[in-house]
Amino acid sequence: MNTFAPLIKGYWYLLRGAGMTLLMAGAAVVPATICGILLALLQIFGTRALRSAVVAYLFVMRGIPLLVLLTFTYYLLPLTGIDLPAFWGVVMVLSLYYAAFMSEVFRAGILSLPQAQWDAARSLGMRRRLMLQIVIFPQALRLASPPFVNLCVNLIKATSLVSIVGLWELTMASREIVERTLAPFQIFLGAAGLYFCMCYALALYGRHLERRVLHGH
Amino acid sequence: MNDVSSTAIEAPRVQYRPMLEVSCISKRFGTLEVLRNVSLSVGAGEVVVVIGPSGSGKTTLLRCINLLEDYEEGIVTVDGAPSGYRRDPKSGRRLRMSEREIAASRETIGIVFQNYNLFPHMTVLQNIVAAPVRVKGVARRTAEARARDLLAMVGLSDKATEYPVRLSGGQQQRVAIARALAMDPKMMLFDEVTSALDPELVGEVLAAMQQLARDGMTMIVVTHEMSFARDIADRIVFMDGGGVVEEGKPEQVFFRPSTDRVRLFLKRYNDRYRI
Repeated sequence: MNTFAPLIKGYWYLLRGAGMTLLMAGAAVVPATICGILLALLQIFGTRALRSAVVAYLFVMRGIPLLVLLTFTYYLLPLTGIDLPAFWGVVMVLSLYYAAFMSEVFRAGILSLPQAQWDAARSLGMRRRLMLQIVIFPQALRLASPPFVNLCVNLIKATSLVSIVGLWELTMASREIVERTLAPFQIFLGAAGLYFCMCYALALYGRHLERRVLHGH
Repeated sequence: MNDVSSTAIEAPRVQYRPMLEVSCISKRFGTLEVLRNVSLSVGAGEVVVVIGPSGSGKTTLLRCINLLEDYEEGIVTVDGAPSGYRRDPKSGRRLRMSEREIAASRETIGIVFQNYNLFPHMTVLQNIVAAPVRVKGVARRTAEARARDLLAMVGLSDKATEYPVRLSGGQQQRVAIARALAMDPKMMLFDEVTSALDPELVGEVLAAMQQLARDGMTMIVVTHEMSFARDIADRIVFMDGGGVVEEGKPEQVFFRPSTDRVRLFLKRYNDRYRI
C-alpha cells in the first residue's frame, strides 16, 4: 500500500492534468476537422493550382514530426509578432497538423462513394453544393467516422508532446509529481492508466461506429 | 364524315412534335470513338427502344442526352431548348451552357439506371421527395403526397418508410422510376433497367414502364429484352459501333430487317434464348 502512496496523494493533480489533456485535444479537434474537410474538398474540386498547394501542404505536414513542429512554432511565433497564449499556439499547431491527416480520411470517404451516387444526384438536377450536402456528405462522413475516431485517439496521445514547450497537461503534471516524490514508476503507471482510459473509451466508440458502417442501418 | 372517323382510328397521335432532338453527336474515349455522328429524333409521347450489341454506344448515348457524359460534337435539344450545349448564332461555335442551366435542363429528363442508384441513407419516401423539395422548391407536404401517388402507381405503397437495402432489386428499381417521375420530367430514359434483376423480378419493372408508356410519357429505352422491346416500342433503333445502323417500326426491324448486321444480331439472340 505504501508503495502507491505518492500516486494516491497526487491523484487529484493527475486527474486535473488529464482534464487539461482532454480540453486541449477537444479544442484542437474542431478546427482540425473543419480544416480537414475543407482541404479534402479543395483537393477534389479545386483548380489544378489549389490542388497542388493542398498536396504540398499534406506532404510537408506528414513529413515533419509533431515534436519538431511544436518546438519550431514555439520559437517562431514570438518573432512574427503574433502574441498568442501558449495554449492557443499549441492548439493551432495541433489543428494544422491533424487537419492534414483528417483531410485524407475525409477525401477517402468521399471518393469511396460509387460514381453512381453522383450520377443519380446530378440526373435529378442537383447542383454540386446540394449534392454534397444531402447525398455525398451523409454517406461519406459515415464511412469516414471509424478512421476519424482513430485519429482522435492519436490526437489525445499526441498532446503528451506539448509539455516540451512548457504547457501543463497530464504528462507535465506527472513529471512535476515525480520530481517531488521521486516515484516515477507509480506516477507514470497512473498517467498511462488515465491515457489508456480516455483512448480506450474512444476506441470502443470507434469500433461501434465501424460495425454500424459495415452492417448498414 | 367517313374521313373523320377513319383518321381518328388510324392516327391516334394528332401531330408529331419533336420532344428530343439529338443532332450529330460524337464522343471519344481517348482514341475509341463511342458515338459517331449519331442523330435521333423522338416525338412527344413516342417510345423509342434502342437495341444493339454490348459496346455499341447505347448507354453512352443516353448518358450524353442529359450530359452525365460529355461529348465532343453535336447538340441535344429537349422540347426545343438546348440541353448541355448551344450554338452561338453568329459564329456557329458550340458553347457549353452554365452549370446552372445544365442542372435545370437535367430536371426535365428523368433517367433510371441499371443498378437503381437509390440513395442508401434515405428512406424510400425521402429518396423520392429529396429532389422535388430541394431542387424545385415544392412544398414538402405536396411532394410527399405526390410521392405516395407515385409509389401507389408502381405498387409499393407499403414501402414508403423502408430503407433501400430492405427492398428487392425489382422494388428498388420501381422506386427509382418513381424518384425520376417525381421531378415531372418531359421525358424518361431507361438504361438497361432490368439487366441486374433476377428473371422473376423483371416483369414488375416492365409492367411499370408499360403503364408509363400508356400514359403518354416520352421514353427512350435501352434494353436487351427483345419481346418487351417489340411490345412497347413505337420505333426501334439498332445501334452498332457507335452509330445507328437501322431504325423503324418494331415489326419491320424484327421481322424484315434491311441490314445484315441486324439480321445477324437477331439470329444470335434467337439462338441464345430459344428454350
